[in-house]
Amino acid sequence: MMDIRCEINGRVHDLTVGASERLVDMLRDRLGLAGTKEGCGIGECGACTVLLDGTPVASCLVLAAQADGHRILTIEGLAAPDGTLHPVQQAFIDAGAIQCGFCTPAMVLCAYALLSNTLEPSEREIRTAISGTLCRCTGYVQIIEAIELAAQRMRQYSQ
Amino acid sequence: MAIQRFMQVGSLDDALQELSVHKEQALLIAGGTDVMPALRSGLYAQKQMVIDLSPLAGKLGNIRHEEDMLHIGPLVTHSRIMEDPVIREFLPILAQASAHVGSPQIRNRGTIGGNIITLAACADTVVPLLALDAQLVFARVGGVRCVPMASYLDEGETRFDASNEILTDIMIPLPNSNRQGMFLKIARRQAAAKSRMSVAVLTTIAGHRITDARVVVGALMPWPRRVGEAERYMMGKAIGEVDPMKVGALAAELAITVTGQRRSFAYKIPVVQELMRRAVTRVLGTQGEA
Repeated sequence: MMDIRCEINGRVHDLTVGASERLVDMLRDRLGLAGTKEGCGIGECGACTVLLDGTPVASCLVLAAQADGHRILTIEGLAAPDGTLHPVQQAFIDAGAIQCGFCTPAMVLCAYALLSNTLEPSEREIRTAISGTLCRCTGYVQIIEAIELAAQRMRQYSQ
Repeated sequence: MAIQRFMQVGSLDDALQELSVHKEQALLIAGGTDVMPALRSGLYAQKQMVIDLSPLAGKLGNIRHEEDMLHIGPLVTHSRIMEDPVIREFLPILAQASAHVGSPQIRNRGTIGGNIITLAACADTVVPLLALDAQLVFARVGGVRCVPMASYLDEGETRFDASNEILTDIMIPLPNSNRQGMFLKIARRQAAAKSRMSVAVLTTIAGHRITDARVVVGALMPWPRRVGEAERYMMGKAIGEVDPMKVGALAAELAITVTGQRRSFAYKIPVVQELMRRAVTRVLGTQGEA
C-alpha cells in the first residue's frame, strides 16, 4: 500500500492505494465515483476515460499510485456545484446523444477536453476526439451533433 | 497479482540502482498502456515491484534538437510527437506513425520508449524509426550503450535486458536534403486497432534521381524489416523509372521468405503490395512535383 495525494474534481484527496491498484478501481471502489465505467479493461473501449491534468486517458491503464500529485476530472466533477449541467452535458441531452449511457461519461469528457482547446472544432477534429471511445447504440451521429451544439453554445457564452 | 511495492524514482541513477538490486523482480512502467493489460492478465507473475519512470519526464521526456540530430526522450508520448513542430517538419513520417497508434487516450499516455521496448510485431513507430536510421541509447549502472535500431531488432530475444538497463534516448539524424516519406497502415478499424500491416517509404532525390531509398514493412513479420531488394531496385533510378508495383512485390517476397507461407497471406500479400504501391506513388509523386 502507498499514500498518495491527488486533486479529484477540484478537491484534494489523501488516499492509501494498493501497489497494483488501477485508477479506475480507486475512483469507483474507494471514492464511489461510479460515473467512470469499466468496459474492456484493456484500453480499447474508452469507457473508463477520465481527464488527467486535462488530457483524456483510459483509467484502466493508469496505476492509482501514478495519479499521485496529479489532477483528475471525472464526469461527476463537470456540473456546477449547484447541479447545473455543463453545456456539453446539456447538449448531449438536447441532441439525443444518449441511449444506454455507458459510453456517455467518456464521450462527454472527450468532448469537454476538445472544447477546452478550441471552440471551433472541425467535424474531423470531433471525430478524432471521440475515436477512442466506443458507442454501441447511437451510431455516433447524434454525439457529433451534440458536440457541435455544445461548441456553438459555448461560443455564444464566451462572447 | 504479486506486485507488493510501487516506487517512484527521483533520478535515472536511482532507477538504475533500484533495477540493479531488484532485477527480474522489478517491472518498469511509464505510460502503462502495454504494461497494464499484461499485468492484469498475469504475464508478470514473477514481478514484485513496480518502478514508475514517469517522474523522470523532466529528463527523459524532452524533444531536443542539437545540430543535425534530434533527441527524443523515451518518455515522450505519441501525442507530443504528433504535435512537435520539428518532427512535423523534418520527420513527418514519424508523426504519421505516432498518429496511427491506438486512440487519443492511448496516445496521451503511451510513450515512444514503450513502443520500442515492448516491440510488438505491430509497433507502429518502429517502422519509421528503422527507415530513419534511429539510434537507441541504453543506460545501466556504470555505462551506456548505443545501438542502431536495425541491430537492436536483429538481436532478437536477447536485444534488451529489462532487468538491467533503461532506454534513455532515441537519436535520429535530421535530413539536409529533399527527402520525402510516407507511413501507411491497415488495421481492422481506424482507432484502437493493432496494425495488420504497415509500410514506410523514405526517399531522397537529387537531380530527379533517387539517391537514397528506405523501404520498411511492419506487422507482417515477427518484427519490422527493411526490404533491401526494394531499396536497391529504387536506388539511382529516375523518379519515372520506378514501378511502384515492383517495390510492393519485393516487399511481399521478403515477408514470404521470412515467415514462410501463412494462411492469412492469401489476403495479406496482395494488400501489402497495394499498400506499398500507394506509399511509393505518393512519395515519388510529391518529389516529382518539387
